[in-house]
Amino acid sequence: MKPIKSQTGIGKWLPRKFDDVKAAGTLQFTDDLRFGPELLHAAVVRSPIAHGEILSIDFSQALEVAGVVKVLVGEDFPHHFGLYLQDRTPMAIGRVRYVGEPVALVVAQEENIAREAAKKVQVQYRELEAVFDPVKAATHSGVLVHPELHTYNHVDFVLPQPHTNIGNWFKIRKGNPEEAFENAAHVFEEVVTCPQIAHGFLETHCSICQQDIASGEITIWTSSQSAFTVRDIIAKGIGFPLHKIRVIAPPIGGGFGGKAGMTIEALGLAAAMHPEIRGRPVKLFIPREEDMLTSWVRQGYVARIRMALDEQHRITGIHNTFWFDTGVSAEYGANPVRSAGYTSMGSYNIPNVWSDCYAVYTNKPFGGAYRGFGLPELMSALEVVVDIVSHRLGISPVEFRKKNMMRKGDTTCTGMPMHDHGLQAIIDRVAKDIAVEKKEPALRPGWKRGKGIALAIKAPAMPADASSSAIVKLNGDGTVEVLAATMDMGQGTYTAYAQMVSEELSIPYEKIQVSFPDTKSHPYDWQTVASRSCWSMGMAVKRAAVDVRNQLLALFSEFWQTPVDTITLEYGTVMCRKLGKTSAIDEKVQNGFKMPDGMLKGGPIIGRGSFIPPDIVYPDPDTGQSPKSVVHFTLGAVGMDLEVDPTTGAIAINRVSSGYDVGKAITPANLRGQIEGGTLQGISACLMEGLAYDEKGKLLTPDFTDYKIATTLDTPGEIISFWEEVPEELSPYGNRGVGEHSMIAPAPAINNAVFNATGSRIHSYPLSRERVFKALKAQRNGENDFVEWPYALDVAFKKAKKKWD
Amino acid sequence: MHDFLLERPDTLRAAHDLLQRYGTKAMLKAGGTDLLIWIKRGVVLPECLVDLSLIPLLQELSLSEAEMCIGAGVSVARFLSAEAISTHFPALVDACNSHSDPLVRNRATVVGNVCSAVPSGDLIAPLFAYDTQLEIHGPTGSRSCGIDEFITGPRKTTLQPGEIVTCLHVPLPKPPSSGSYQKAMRREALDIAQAGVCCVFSGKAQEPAGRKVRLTFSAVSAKPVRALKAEHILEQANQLDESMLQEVAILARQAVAPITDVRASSEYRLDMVAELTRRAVRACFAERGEA
Amino acid sequence: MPGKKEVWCTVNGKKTRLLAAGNTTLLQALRDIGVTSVKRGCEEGECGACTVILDGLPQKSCIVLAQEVEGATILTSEGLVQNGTLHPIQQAFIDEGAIQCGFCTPGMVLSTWALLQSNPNPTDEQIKQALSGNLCRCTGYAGIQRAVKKSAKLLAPKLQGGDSQ
Repeated sequence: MKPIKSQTGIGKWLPRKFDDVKAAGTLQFTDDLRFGPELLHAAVVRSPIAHGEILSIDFSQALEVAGVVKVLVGEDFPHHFGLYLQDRTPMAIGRVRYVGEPVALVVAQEENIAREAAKKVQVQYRELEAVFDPVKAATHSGVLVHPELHTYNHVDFVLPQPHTNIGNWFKIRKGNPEEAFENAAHVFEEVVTCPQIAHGFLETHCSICQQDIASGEITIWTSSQSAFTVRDIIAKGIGFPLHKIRVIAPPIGGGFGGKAGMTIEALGLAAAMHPEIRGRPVKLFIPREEDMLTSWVRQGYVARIRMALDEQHRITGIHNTFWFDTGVSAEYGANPVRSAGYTSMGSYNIPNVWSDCYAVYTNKPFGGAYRGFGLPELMSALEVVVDIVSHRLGISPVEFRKKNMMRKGDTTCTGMPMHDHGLQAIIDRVAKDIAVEKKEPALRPGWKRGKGIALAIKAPAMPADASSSAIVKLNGDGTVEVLAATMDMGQGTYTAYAQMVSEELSIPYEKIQVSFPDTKSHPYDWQTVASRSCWSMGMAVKRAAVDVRNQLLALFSEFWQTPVDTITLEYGTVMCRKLGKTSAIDEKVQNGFKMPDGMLKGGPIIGRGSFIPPDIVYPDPDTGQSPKSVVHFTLGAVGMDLEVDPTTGAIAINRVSSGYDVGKAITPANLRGQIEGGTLQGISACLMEGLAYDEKGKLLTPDFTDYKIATTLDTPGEIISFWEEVPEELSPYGNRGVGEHSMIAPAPAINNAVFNATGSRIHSYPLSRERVFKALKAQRNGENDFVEWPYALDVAFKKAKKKWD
Repeated sequence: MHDFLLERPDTLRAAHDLLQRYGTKAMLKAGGTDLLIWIKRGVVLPECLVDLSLIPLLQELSLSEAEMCIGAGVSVARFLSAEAISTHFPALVDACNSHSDPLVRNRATVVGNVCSAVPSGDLIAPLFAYDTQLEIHGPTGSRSCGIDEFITGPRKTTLQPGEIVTCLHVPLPKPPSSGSYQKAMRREALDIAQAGVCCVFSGKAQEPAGRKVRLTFSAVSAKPVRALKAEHILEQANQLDESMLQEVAILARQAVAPITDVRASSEYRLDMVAELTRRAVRACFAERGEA
Repeated sequence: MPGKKEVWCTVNGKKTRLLAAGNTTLLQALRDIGVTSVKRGCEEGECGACTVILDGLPQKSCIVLAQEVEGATILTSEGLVQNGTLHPIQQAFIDEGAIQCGFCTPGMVLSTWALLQSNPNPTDEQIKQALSGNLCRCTGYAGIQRAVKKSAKLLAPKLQGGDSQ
């Protein structure tokens, strides 16, 4: 008989944790926290120029505004911060490097006063030449965004190139690519470009910082995916002990990577730690129009991919060059570049690989983590190239992909063996769902219909030592509290943890609560990123729950004087069928068991679980090779059935099919949500999103007036979401990460379907209406390939495709 | 946001008094859906906002034998829901439905869209096409003026200090009438037009007065313009044919002068003017069963 | 600068005093009295996270001035909860996977409420139209669409009897 029976364990469809208070609107996000009149408010003075020396800052007029408490400048808080590379200060010191960079912080009694006073701060600059194009910045720019790059601290797996604009250079050298290209029957070379894009979460950044005047302890309430990493980065940045920094992360209104690492916290802290302010909480709320200037955006990129094939249409070699536009800071952006690099074979078995991935500094807002972390970028290029190649070779894109697909035992570009997965079944399902080979008439008169597919692959992209820990507390009434410092930002991880605990303890789901992170109470977790939580923290939570169970069973074993294996846990009740005994989980688990010998034993039961990936080896810096570079890969595929309006360039999606091999679906409700949500986010990015700048580097799309994201009316006719379950070996329940993956393949699938519909291949994202229209116009002049340099305003580089070697 | 005094007069008289008192430091507010954003962005810095929404007179929405009257307080949604009235102005209905989103339409006013006088104002093109007259009350009397006399450039109008646009008089188009507003935008909802084209037909071609055609535009000219040559061709046309449509589209392009900005390039806007003109004209013919 | 004024209105059935300067938005005034369901998403009328029902109509409270709501009746998502029980629309949002981060949810719920008041049996297209002013970045709107349809079913008999606030 199964020793644990639960109706609410893994795999069940259950109402998600915190959905009731979200529906009512009573859940408190950071901006909803209330402080007394001691609360101060900060507003940011920003640079109007992209690159220049600060000659003077005159804030005397701002100080005269009633209610203004203090104005701070960069020199007041001269600390460098960064997750992988300490290349950023909260405010500019001496030099500004992008339009929007903070140069001063106005602190006042009221938010509106701070904002109005900030307009009165006068800054004199000496303007310097700026660089906006990553290829130019990387290859032959006279402008150095960070002349001091060689002095910055960084982790040893990030390789900044001193006296250049390259913040990180990641290489793959596998097999003998040169030979592969020499002996190839076919060689293709293609270029794909994409601008920076923004997370577009509805909650902008907000944090409140406070330092105690007596103990010096710092408390930070912040909209963050990464309570512990905020603590780490700040501790390292200001040279402070970890136990004196407390980070509380209330619920966040969407993250998608944009609230990972440390974003605005140090800026608020600059004020909170100032001697004249210390003791008072200082709130920094970032209004929408400043949010893209204050936190990560997704890196833009220029990808050049060469592919070698043999007579049998097998891919024998690939040569990749990726210039990622990381903007002013590579502190986080250094890593998506690696992530793309060590997955630069895509989902394919390619014996010879040469990849150079650069994080390139430019005078623009900073690039960093965004759902998919390098892979939507890479796959938006690679999956298009695969499609081009299959078309040129005259084989079906589906067959070509299946033929070259990486199977169990094949090696990835880092030399790591691929594990088992269900990709083939997923490709077949997607192809069937959209009838990919069938040419169908458009549903809209005059439109052109097409089908396309693309594959997705991604591993959790994290340092080898990204660890998790959890505590499971059993209460005296049989309810459970789980301390797991994951941020449930909508993906629903707390629901998953509660189901895991229910699975291990049999206790009904509704009796299990999971709380939002507080570094003071919760045990350590690296960050809620990389689709790692249900896997890594899942291991810790499961271990903690098993620890509770073992303690509970041992106590009952002694209490009832019966071997442990005669005791079962059924729906929250402890039973021994042999002895006919039953007990609720009650005060005994808190106040101790009075054992047959009359002695009290036990006391509060707390389970603990820790996890660190046991066998990851950093890729060799010169070759990128490693016996195990990542913990696992999640693979999947997307099929698009769409149509294009040739008269306007509009695209309407009839149907999307999107499937992933998740290993095991812990919470199907969340899984469906992640697939549906990521699919539309990917569609939106592909069809309408991109940060646009004027020729002086001023962001033209700072808010929702001009940074458009999909509305209800931009949704596909149908999203089919499904999953396969080929279990992962090292995993709590065989599950793999999937939160980011649904964002990876929609864009290339759309691109491929547009080609199928029109015969025009668009090499530049987004596939906005205007761009599609232009591409179709160019097609009438015989141009079937359409490229628009995303940095077209940088006129000298309009033709860079021909120049960059 | 810059602070200001909000005054909420309940008579036109009181509103005029306030305007007199504050002079150029006052601004008029109806729905305020544009104005509040301008203030937030620091584009305008009024000391006083004179809110017109409590003045009963300005809530008029009526239809007589000759015309529709839309008061300055009438929201876009209210116009849309007054179907007995709005049905006579299909191009304006199209434009209202494409304007912003259902929530904003509950607050934004029809008159406010005209007074904001931004080139992309969705309602301006159809109101112009329907030969709308603005009724303007000043401290010493009232005057009336057409849309193209009123709007002189982006956010510029001939409204003088102390004057209030109280209502729009929109003549009932002579039957049989048809109209269409076509809009290009970056996504399917809640966007500023990249280009908008409005076409209105009224009267019969066969009758002595002839068919009257208006072809007007959004987001592609600094101030309201008509494609006069194209209108003339359409007024003479007995039926829809592709070569005529092509000529009309070309003439429409020639009538406008769009700029390039982050929303669209001038080239795309011109191409959309041609395409949307074809669509609007086709729709007008189709509505009359003449397609 | 002009000072703050008292504004009396009805919020979720209760007579309520707001304190507002000329430039105080309804969004800010409601948040100041602890109404957390109205969110600062863009403060420019572009996202819908601050949606309220103002005198029966869904509106974006960031582009309404607080001094304009003197005597008005305001309903927020909190006001749909009766005696600790969620409104059927709120429950449908939970049941159909219409909620992820929850930031857009109260606004979506209210736009749904307003839609079903005026159109108890909307088509898919009408649902999309009615919610097109409320942005959601998490769900892809698929769950929301399901939830609105389910809400319509749940409320069908009730609405005929005249469901009020």
